[in-house]
Amino acid sequence: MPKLEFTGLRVLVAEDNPHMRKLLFTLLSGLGLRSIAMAEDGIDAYEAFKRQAPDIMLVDWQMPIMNGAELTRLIRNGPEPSCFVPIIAVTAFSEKRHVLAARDCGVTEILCKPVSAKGIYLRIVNCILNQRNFVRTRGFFGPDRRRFQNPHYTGAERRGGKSDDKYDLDPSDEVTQAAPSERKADSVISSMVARTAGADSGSSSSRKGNAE
Amino acid sequence: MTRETPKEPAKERKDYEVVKPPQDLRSKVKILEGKDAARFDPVQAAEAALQRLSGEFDAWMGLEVGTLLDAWAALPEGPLTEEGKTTLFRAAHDIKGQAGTLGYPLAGAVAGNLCYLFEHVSPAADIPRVLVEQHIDAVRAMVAEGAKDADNEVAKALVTRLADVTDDFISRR
Repeated sequence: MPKLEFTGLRVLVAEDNPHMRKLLFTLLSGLGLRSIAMAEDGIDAYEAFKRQAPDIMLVDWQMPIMNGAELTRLIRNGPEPSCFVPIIAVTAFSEKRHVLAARDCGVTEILCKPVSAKGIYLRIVNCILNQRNFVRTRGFFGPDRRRFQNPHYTGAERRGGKSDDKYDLDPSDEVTQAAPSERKADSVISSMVARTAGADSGSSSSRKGNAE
Repeated sequence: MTRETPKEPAKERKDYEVVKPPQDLRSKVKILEGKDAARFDPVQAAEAALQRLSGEFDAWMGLEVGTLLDAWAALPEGPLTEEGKTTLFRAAHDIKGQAGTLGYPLAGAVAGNLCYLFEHVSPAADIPRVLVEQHIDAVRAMVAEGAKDADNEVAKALVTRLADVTDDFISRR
């Protein structure tokens, strides 16, 4: 495991629970980070993100007003170059379906609670030393979800697959689709503030599929 | 920014674009080698920092359990409401996420099982109050009794029993 000095790295943490915030701050400080900004919910985090342009974000998945999934989508759909910021989802949702959902929102790494010094360190190191390319399709923008090549994959989201799944690029390979950054972030935030955030509960899956 | 394009026959419309992030984060860090690497171990330093903070963990755990108990006490009589379920879920989920780090892994397991019940039974009114109460009582007792050891036989038996009852309830629906 390589040893890295993080003193030049700026990190933003979005976490609503005060004890968890203190835990994360302590662990990150211990790892050698000197620029650590903390936000108490998704809205706070998004404002801090726009002001501070952090190098890496740690985002709690369950937060009031704007949760981690909503915050991640907002950032990924935002303007370049900040939309490329590595996002580490910190979550107690460790079931496989939750992990896949977080990945499909565009997170870079997933850190399941309970957190540990080694767990955080390895994910930050991975974001830095194994920086992944981003992929943009009609329905996704985020880090390349392929960690390895699987020639037998036949899922619906295979690139170069269905003709109705085309993300139109012109022959010169310039993007012709309206830039995602045109999405009105302010109106998205306003609608989130207006509603009461609910817990992520509902769909069912058997405990056999539980990765806990 | 470098944009890589997939290698496909000319004029064929692509359904994806690969973009290399503009910033190389390696420029923001220093890879420690030799004496520097021997002098500083970031993981050990972070664990030591956490250890210095650990004197506060019991109090924090007490506060988290207090939040769960308050949410339970504030529930109206009768079947569980969606609002009540959401409030309890948030409190239990916070405990599930923190208890391991704070030194109460078995209390975290019980809270996790309560989250599992909430996630897999809908509507909220179908969730037996007595089963929710048993979970909350178990978390409260484990923290009050200082059941930190993951090998605590009584606590382990309680975790297993609650998981079995929950699974049985969900499977019979």
